[in-house]
Amino acid sequence: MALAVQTIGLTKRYGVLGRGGGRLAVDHLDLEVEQGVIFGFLGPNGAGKTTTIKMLLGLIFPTEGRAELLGKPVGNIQVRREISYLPESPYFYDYLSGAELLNFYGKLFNINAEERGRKIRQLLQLVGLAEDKKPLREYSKGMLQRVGIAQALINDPKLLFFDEPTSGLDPIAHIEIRDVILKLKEEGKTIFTSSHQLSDVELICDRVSIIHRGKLMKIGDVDDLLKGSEVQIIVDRPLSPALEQSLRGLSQRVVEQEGRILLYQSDEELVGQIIDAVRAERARLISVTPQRQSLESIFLQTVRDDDSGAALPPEITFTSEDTPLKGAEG
Amino acid sequence: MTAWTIATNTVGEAMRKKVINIFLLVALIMIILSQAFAFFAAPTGISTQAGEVGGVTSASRVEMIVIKSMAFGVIVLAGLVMSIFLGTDLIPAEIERKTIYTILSKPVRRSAYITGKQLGLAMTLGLNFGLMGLAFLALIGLKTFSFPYEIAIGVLIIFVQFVMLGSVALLFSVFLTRNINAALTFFMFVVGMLSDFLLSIANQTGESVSRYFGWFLKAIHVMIPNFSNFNITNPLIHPQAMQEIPNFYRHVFLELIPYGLVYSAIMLLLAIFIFDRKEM
Ligand SMILES: Nc1ncnc2c1ncn2[C@@H]1O[C@H](COP(=O)(O)OP(=O)(O)OP(=O)(O)O)[C@@H](O)[C@H]1O
Ligand SMILES: [Mg+2]
Repeated sequence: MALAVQTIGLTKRYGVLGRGGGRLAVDHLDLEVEQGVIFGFLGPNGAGKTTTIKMLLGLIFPTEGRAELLGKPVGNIQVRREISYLPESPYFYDYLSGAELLNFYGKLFNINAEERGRKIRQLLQLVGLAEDKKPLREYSKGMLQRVGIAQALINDPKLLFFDEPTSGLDPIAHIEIRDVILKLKEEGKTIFTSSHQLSDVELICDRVSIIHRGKLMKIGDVDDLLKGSEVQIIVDRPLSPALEQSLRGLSQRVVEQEGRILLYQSDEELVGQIIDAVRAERARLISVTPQRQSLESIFLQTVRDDDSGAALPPEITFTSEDTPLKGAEG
Repeated sequence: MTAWTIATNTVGEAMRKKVINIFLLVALIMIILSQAFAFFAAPTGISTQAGEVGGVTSASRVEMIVIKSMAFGVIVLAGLVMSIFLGTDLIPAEIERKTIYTILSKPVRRSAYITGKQLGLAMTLGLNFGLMGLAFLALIGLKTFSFPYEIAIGVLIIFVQFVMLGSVALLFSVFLTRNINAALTFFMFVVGMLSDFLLSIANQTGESVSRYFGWFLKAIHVMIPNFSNFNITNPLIHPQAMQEIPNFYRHVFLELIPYGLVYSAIMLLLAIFIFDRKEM
């Protein structure tokens, strides 16, 4: 099966002669996204996400490199039947109602009238706008975003590009849009989405990439990225001074808490030694938990590393999320 | 097919623009009011117009001339504003509001998009000219109890003229900002009216005008829409002047209108050529 998205050395330099000052917005980007994957395309403001998506849709042209969608070169008119796009903060003809707008877009795909009518009803239902007959100018931002998603589904695409689909939405609209995306995921669609909502990305995406200043910094499956190597071991006090000393010696980092001690170690063997030592002294082991990193911490680390050229000390880098390991209770 | 969808959508959008609505309304009112103007103008009109037909001009005839001149004038002005406004605005508005992103990422060729826009512009002008022309025809028809063919033809010719001008503005809108475009298109309109005059200067090249300047003028004459021939309201207003143009209908249908269509088509091709390379 062809890759859903493939970019090869994709590069965009804005305004070589004009106003952009020859600014590299996307810098030799190599990406591969398989079909059926929900792909999170992350990066700070100005990283080049929108620029990349626009190149993939043929709205702007690469300065260098090339890209393929579903195995065909970008810009191929046939490929456009199978993809769709929800732009960043979209705007639609505001004098039309949702149904009229979808009708217009449906006609652009030459979908026949009967089928169009059926699709439109079904899509408005899906995004929760079935009852609305008013023109779009009276819609709230959340409603517009839902029309945008409906618009992107009119051709039953295989591959969808969403540019910040949940930005500027209230928590309820936000969750609703997120649920629509999850529904699409169940249908097996490939979704390429940029987002600043890392908690959403963590929840929705199978795979993510982080770009910074147009360069690819990190790419991988969400589960792999989040699986930190560090293990947290919590031991109850009281402890003999000798044991405490040897535990401190075996740990990379120790945090004192009232009535207990938190030990951190990322070396598997040393983790084993810590546990053995605790058991040998019959001290009380409360839990052993692999520390799952949050996407946020990975994001910050990646971007800051690139900015400063050096890793930041762990204390200020991240707040960890705990996911207890089953059966680790001592 | 997609071009047609774009075109009809464009008409729907354009007919909601305030500028278009206001100018249509004002034009319709002015056309109807031209009757009143003629009433006041007629008595003095006799003396100013008398010379031309050897003193046989009757008051009602002068009234007719005043009504027709005024109505044609209003239609030309409205057409000028509408074609420049639509031509400069249609595409930039879609780029600014990003509606173009969702359209061009669908299976819509850029050429189909531009063709649809130009067709939509022409259809919008057609609708507005149709309404203004209808008011004009009704007014004259009610006064003369006959169908004034010459009025219908006059409106048709002005319509074609502004389809041409609109296509010029639409071409410019692909790479120029609105204001510069509007100024340049207006300039094209004025120079276009003087097109034949430029040619006559060019043909006098010799001692007074340098040869190269002559070529330059000829080049302009070819590139700029030649509106000199479209200025036929004069013969339409003064029927005796019509006799001066042999084969009037032949001139209109086999020369003027085809010229307008070919010119607009060339503007369209140029616009497609540039738009195909444009970054959104
Ligand atoms: N049309 C343009 N002309 C010149 N420079 C541009 C243009 N569009 C974007 N840029 C620049 O290219 C860089 C990447 O912009 P882009 O919009 O792709 O970022 P982004 O990752 O989408 O950011 P955000 O998260 O803020 O949406 C930015 O530095 C931006 O200033
Ligand atoms: Mg962006």
